[in-house]
Order: sequence, then structure tokens, then C-alpha cells
Amino acid sequence: MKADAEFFESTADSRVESVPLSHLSVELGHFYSPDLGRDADFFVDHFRRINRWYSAARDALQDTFPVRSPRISTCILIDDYFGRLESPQKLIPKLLGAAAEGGIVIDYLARESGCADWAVPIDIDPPDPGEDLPPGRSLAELVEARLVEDPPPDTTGARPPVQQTGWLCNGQRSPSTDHHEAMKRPTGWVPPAENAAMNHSIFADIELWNEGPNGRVWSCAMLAAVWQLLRFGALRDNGRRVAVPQRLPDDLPADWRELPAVSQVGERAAPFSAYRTLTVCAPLFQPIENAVRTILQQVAVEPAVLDQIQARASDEGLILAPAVVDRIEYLFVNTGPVRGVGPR
Amino acid sequence: MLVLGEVQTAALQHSGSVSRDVAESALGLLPGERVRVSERPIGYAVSPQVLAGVDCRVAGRSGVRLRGVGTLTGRACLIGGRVLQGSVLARIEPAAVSHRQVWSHYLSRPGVVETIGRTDLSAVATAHLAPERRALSTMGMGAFGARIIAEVQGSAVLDRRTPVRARRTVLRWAALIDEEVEGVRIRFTVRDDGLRTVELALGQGEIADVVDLCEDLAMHDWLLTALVSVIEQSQIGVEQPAQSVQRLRPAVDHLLHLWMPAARLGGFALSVWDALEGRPGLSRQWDASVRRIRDQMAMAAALVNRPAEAAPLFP
Repeated sequence: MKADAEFFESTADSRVESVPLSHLSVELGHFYSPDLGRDADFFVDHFRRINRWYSAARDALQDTFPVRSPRISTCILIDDYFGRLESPQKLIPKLLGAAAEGGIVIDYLARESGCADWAVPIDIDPPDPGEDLPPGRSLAELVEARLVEDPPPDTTGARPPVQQTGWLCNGQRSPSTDHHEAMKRPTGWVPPAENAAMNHSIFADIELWNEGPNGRVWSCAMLAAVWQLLRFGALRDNGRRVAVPQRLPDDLPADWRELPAVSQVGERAAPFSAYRTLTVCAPLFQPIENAVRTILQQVAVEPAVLDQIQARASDEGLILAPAVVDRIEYLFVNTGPVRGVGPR
Repeated sequence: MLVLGEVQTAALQHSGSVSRDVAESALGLLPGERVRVSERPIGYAVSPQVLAGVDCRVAGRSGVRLRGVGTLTGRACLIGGRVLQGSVLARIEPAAVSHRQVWSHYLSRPGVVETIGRTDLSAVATAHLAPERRALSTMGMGAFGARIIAEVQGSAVLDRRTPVRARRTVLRWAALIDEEVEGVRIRFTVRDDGLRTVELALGQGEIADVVDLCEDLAMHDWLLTALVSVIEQSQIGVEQPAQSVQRLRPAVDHLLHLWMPAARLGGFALSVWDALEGRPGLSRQWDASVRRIRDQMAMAAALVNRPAEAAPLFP
């Protein structure tokens, strides 16, 4: 008689935790410090304007999705990274109140610093005693590690990853013509080129970070790219979920850093992360979103996570675009007199 | 479907075989992604998959310009805490369009290189396996593999002392997975210039199994090469047995226990190993070499405390 034997070792497979997923995550606006100081009326007007588009998006989803009641969650991102803000005690009730008056419910509230902070500390399932936690990394660093640069023509596997300069582009830069080496004939100007150009190039060069007096300062575009990936539930640190939404505390702290990266406001909100994302914002933000897309086009999301999301979607009868960047939608509309990102 | 790959194998630059923690740290090529480790039946650790973007010429039928765009995938493997591999592969697929697409398209299919131009898969496989010079590797696969090995060897947790002197070996492989092929065909070649090539044709099979097979072959071919080289350096029959044994010692300490063909393989890969055991008979050569070492050690032990005497064969 022949016996069947099976043997497994748990660390030998690359298991990744899964996150609950909505069908759509709608961002109800970007808020940077120059705007966050405005009074309640500004926000009521903002949310009223947004609400029309939000309703339209909800209807569109209901019409096109093969599910009876699609799961939709809403969120806002607050910039506590670049600017100095009022305390959460003051600002959060103002925003939530204005949204309610504008007829819209904010399900999740996220801090932009959360995208630049250490990823690990908050975990709903405490690790087994004695289990070593991996060293903490910021979400932005996790994303940076996954960048695979768009290769210009004549690039082979011999090309090392381009020296980290803090810049990422979608093609070949125009060579500098300012400095001529002695004895060398000056060369003429050479234009930059987009790698996937159709007849003509639209070349984009994005600053990911620069060095400030207190170390690395991530760019708004990089943090917004992290933010999109969080909304897709596409980030893991050593297989673990990151920035898991926590309930917004009843007693709001005075310091933004005491809040979790993502706070859940309503008790019955649909899951924070979603198969698709929609951002409703002012046309003012279009350059940032273009930068975000340029970055996301060069992020290789962990294949196990992508497969997990695709499998869940197909169980629900949905077909997702293979690339995460193609699951993002935008509505650039008039959201009132927004000022956007201010100077640092 | 055509899959091309290259496996480079070398001794890890560390004085002892490394523990699990050290392996995890040395092979952590991608922050945020785990190193997979298993301990049965042999210590085995594999790094997360890393990618290299390419947009370059793919060698194929002469006179045809073939452009490949996509990503190579690479990984580092550590076997028995001692043998390090840099393993690179790409699946070659004719592109559906005749121009280059946005990069996210290629990143959503990691490990696939789409070819723009008239693609003759068998010509691409042949060019990959039979380059004019060993240094010429398809799409810079060799350089990518070498970079992976260098990154691991440069890890701060290693002491960069190698007890076994053995050359790095390069095994280049091409696998054609095609429903029309019956069974599994394999051709394993050792070229004059030291390059090893494996040509595989199979009706069906997972790419992951093909990669595991080629890495396993490369690892055992390296072990055999290393053992033979240690035996050569020991100058058996020229030196006194005690001295030869001294020189054979690294093989006993670091290599002999690692021979375990097909230990982690299943399915068609097992049958391929069985076939290779018939010819060229890697295990036969290994067993003979191991016996030779053991005989030397037994003789040295028997001769201990005896005055050194010459034993001329023809007095």
C-alpha cells in the first residue's frame, strides 16, 4: 500500500494578510493647510459642491456594477505634513459638521503624515508573544522600494537602478548642455523624450523627496501616490497590513500625531480600501495627480497582493484593470475657492 | 510559451554556513517583503522577487530586428546556508501591438518581455543558449544575476571569508512549454568555455517548477564542480596523505552534506532528474568523488603515528 504524505512549513510560502474591500473609495477633497484654516462656511460650500458629483458617482456605480448594493466608502486626506494646523479637537468637529450640513458623510479621515510615518505600530491582531516584529518602515519607503523605473530604449538588465536622486521621470532627460568639458566640442541641445511617446513626447520629471534640515522630506506627489495605494489596500509590510483604520477616539487629542494614520469616523462605514478609487477635487490639483500617476506607473505592487485583490474581485463577478493605476478615476470640478498646497 | 533564464551559482562569502536569521537579513533584497525560508529536507531560503526593466534588442534569427520591452525577474537563493544563487528569468511573448506601451502595462505582467517584430521563439531560444561568447547574455540577464549575487555578498551580516575555493558557474536555460510536445525533453550541455546550458521542451508545466528544476541542476552541478576542484587541489598521491586530507577538509566541512538531488522538486522535475542520472550520471561522479575523499581520510588515519615513508610504486 502506498501512503500519501504532505508536509508544509509555514514560512516557506509568502502569505500576505488580506484587507476588507469596498467597491469604490471616494475622496471628497484634498485639504492643505492654507484651506484648513478657513471657517465652517467654506467647508459647507465645499461639501455641497462635492456632494452633487458624489451622488452622480454613486448612481453611475449602481448602474454599471453587477452587485445589488455596492459598497462605497468616503474619505478625506488632511495635510498635517507640510503645514501647521489647528488641533484635531478644533478642526475635526468643524469638518465633520460641515460635511453633515453639506449632506455628505465622511467615513474615514486620514493624515498625510501617516504616509510618511513608520508603518508598523498599530495592528489590530497583536502579534504572538515572542514573535519578532519587523523593523518599522515608513509607508513612503515601502513604496519607494517597489519603484521599477520606466527604462529608456537600449536598456538591458545590466543597467543598475539609477542612482537615487529623488527624481523619477517617464523617459529620457535632456542632457545638460550648461557645462562643457574642456577640449570637448560643445554638443547641441537634445530634447527630452517620453519612453511611450505617441509621435510626440509628454515628458514628466517628478521630485519624490528632497533633503531638509531634519532629513528627508517627501514630496506631496509621493505621499499622494502612497495614499492611492493605501486606498487600494495594496501595501503590506512583510505580509502584514499597514495603516489599518482605527476608530476615531471620542476624546480627540490635541496633537495630530496621536491620531492613527487612518481613522474610521462612522461605525457602519463600508471598508476603507476598495477595488477602485475616485477622487473629486479642484482642477488646481491636476498637476499633482499627473505626478501621482507617473509614480504609480512605475510601482510594481507585490504580486501576491495584486492576485489576492483580483481573485476577490472575480469572486464578485468584477473585472479589474491589470494595472492599479488604471483603476483610478478623477473628477476635476469646481469645489469652491480652494487654494491648495501652500509654500513651505 | 518560451521562458529564458540564467542561474549563477557561487559559495556564500561567509566562514560558516549561515543561520536562518542571517539568511533572512542577507537575502532581504526588497524592504517590506519577506524572505521565504524552509528547513526540510535541506535549509533553503529565497529572496523576494526583484525586477529589472528592459527595452532592448533580443537576439534571434540573424538579420531580424527584434525589440523586447518588459521586465526580467530575479531572485537570490541560499541552499544549506552555503550555496548562493542569482537566478533571473523572462517569459518571451510576441507583443499584441507594434509600439511600446505605457510602463504600467509591463509592470502589471512582471517577468514578461514582449517582443516587437517578427518573433521566432526557437531562434530566440537558440541565440540565448548558443551565444558567440559566454559573456553575451540575452537582455543583460547575466549582469542582473551578477548584481543580485553582489548585493547579497555585500550584506553587512556576512564576514566575506570563503572556506571553499570554487569558481562561479553559469547555467543558462530555455524552456519551451507547448501542448504539441509529448512528455519532457531535456538537453544538458557543458560547453568548452564552462557555460552550462539546459534546453527543455515540455507539453505542460508550471514556470515555477521549471525554475526550481534549473536552479536545482545548477546547484548540484556547482557542488560537483567545487568538489572536483577541491580534490584536484589536494594533490592526492603527490602529497603525504595527512597533507592531502588537510586540503580536502573544506569539502568535508562544507560540501558533502549538501548533495540532495531533487530534494524539493516534484512532478515532471523528478523524472527529469531520473533521466539525468542515467546520463551524464551526476550522482555517480559525486559518489565516486566522495568515496575517494573518504578513502584518503581512512588511509591518513591508518598511517597516523607512523614515520612518513615513501611508498614508491616501482621500487
